[in-house]
Amino acid sequence: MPTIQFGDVQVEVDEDGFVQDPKQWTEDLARYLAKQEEGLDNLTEDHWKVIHYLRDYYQQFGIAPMIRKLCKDTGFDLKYIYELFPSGPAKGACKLAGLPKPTGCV
Amino acid sequence: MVLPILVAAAFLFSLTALAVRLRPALALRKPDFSRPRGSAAAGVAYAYSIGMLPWTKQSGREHALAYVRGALFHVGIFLSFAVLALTLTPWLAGFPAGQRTGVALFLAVTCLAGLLGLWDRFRQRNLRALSVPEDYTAIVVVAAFVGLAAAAVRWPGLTGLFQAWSAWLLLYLPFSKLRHVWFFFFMRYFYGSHFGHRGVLPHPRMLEAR
Amino acid sequence: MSVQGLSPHGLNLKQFSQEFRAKTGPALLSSLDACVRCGVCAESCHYYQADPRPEHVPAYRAEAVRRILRTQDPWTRWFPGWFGAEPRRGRSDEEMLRALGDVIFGTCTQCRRCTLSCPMGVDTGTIVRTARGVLARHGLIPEGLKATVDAHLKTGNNMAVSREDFLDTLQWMEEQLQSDTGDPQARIPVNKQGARVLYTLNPREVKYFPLTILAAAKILYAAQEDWTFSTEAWDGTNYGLFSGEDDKAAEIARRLEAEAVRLGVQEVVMTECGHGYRSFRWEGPNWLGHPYPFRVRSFVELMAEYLDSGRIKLNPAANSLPVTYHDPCNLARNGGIIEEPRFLLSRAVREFREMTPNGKDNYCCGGGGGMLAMTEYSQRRLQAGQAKARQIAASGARVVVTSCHNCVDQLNELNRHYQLKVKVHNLCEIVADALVLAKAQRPAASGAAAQDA
Repeated sequence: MPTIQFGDVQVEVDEDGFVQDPKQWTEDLARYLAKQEEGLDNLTEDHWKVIHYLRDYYQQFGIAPMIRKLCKDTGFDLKYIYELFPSGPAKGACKLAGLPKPTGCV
Repeated sequence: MVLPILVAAAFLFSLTALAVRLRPALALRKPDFSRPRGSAAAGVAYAYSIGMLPWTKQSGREHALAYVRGALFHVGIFLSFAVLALTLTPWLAGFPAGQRTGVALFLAVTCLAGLLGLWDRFRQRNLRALSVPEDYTAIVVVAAFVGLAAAAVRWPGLTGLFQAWSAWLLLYLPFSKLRHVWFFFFMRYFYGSHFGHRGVLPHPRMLEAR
Repeated sequence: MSVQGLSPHGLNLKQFSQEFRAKTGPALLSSLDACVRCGVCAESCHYYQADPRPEHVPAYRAEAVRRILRTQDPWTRWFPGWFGAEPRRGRSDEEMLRALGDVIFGTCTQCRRCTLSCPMGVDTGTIVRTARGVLARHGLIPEGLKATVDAHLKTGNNMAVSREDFLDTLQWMEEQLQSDTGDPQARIPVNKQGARVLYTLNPREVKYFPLTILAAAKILYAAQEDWTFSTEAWDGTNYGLFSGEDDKAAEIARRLEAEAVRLGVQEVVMTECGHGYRSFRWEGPNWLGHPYPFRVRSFVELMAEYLDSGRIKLNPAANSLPVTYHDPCNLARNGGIIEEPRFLLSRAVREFREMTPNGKDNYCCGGGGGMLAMTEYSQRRLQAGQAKARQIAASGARVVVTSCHNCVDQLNELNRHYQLKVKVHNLCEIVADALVLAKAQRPAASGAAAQDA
């Protein structure tokens, strides 16, 4: 199992870069992943809004929300979400939020 | 008289063994329940004809030399079986010496083609990794068969040795990779009908018929 | 590395061999005896193209299975090593089967390109699938692949989308459809009894990428098709194709078949999902052991028919960048759908460029065989996509179009990994953007155009 090192913290990730233990997630880790995985130098307020929404939803329901819910509850339209996270909602946003890799073709 | 009987018996044994080996495959035959998009028959026809031409496949294009060498070896093998059949008749001696020498020389060349394949197996990294011990011995057994056929055509005195070796080859064949001589024809049939049924071979069509 | 899975409880070499042989058909049994290990299949494999090692020669993978089977072959058991049985090297049966698992799950996408290149026609992809099925039955299967099959069987779709969420998303897209077409009567029909067409989806469309649903709905609207979704069976995927478990694959196919029969549709149309199409169109009837009482087609075929018969009209001006098409293995090589996408693109884009090779000879993108669900093989998967990345770069195209959601995901990853600087789209998005609607309402930016913006 690969690990990533940032600062003095070691975090286990799978080979797709998804964090293995959601409890290890911190905002610093999200910033690090944003740079490494998405090439985003800094995360805007809107990025954080999506990330925190995803985490809250996951903690409550144990599954990532539908893109429909994400759009409705954050007030962002679909196009804007795809812009915020170039790798898409699953491999981009969910990964940064420390959610596990979804099943299926993603 | 003992040797020809032995050859015939070995041939019958070989054929029976191969049939037994194939039986489970045929027993498992089921119709393809999916609706056809193309024609299984056209696919089979393609698989046995154009589909065997080396330039129709990437493998043939990238390994043209190996293809030619292999094809030559196999022509020699089938010719050697023809020679074997002739040695069981009185006709072989009736051919003029010049013709017999010509055939012998041709067989010798194909034998060499086979041995070059053996050389490749030693030399190429992929083939070395893929090969099992029997891959080397199978070539030797068959190349010797072709070589002895050449010798028997040229020097009729060696016919006994050729027949004895042929009997051994036929007995060995069903246990060896050499059984591909039999499975090849079935494989091509299944391959052609499968991809023909799906409309992939011989050529795709624009819209499926209703 | 070996497969991380449950212990193959009680599975030994003998049982593996028996179960494998019980599952095989004639083509497969012939594939076991026809291979002469000539090795000319090497270059046909995208793994070998990316990393030319002997282990990446297709015959080597099939041999991994055959070597295990030879340990049990009564014809050669007297001299097993001589005839190429797998040597024990001090390993237990379980260790040997785990090593096999790593080869067959981790280094083959079942694209069957090698079969077309083989002088015999040996079906290595199916050898691999059959062996996967035996191992999977005994718990030796990568977790992500197992979870995807299980989710489908348990929840009716492989991403565990609830009925409410499904309907909510369809309604959302219906509102978009109405606004894009300017027709408040435009509908995305659900559970319509007696509709002509039952349309299926890949759950990733519903969960994350709904614009392809909108694009498909727009095309079906423009063609004035009588179609419907079903809330009971809308997932057209079938990861049983990848896990090799025929019983689970059959159950997934059975549910869709039953729903199509219940609704009384004339045909089931598969979304642009390569393996879903192959599973339901070609393998499903054989898993079930009977033909369907309805027709099954890919949406690509239906779109081509609409265009051919004049039911839709396209304006290529909508897509002005140079476009290339990636043939999904399961549509082209395994289903013969090669001409249709090219016909559609010839009318939907300004400039079309072929990759070389293409059609039935196209290289796999590397994402097939369930690789996207097996995270332990992600690095290998990206590396194996190198041949495809080179093809795309050489085409000079700016947009890569394909007809498989799985390929789209892998191509997007290749795009990033190999810095190809292209856009990747489903064919239906490109077609929807080029649609000329009869009522003269130009479609607002949607589908491909929206994602590009």
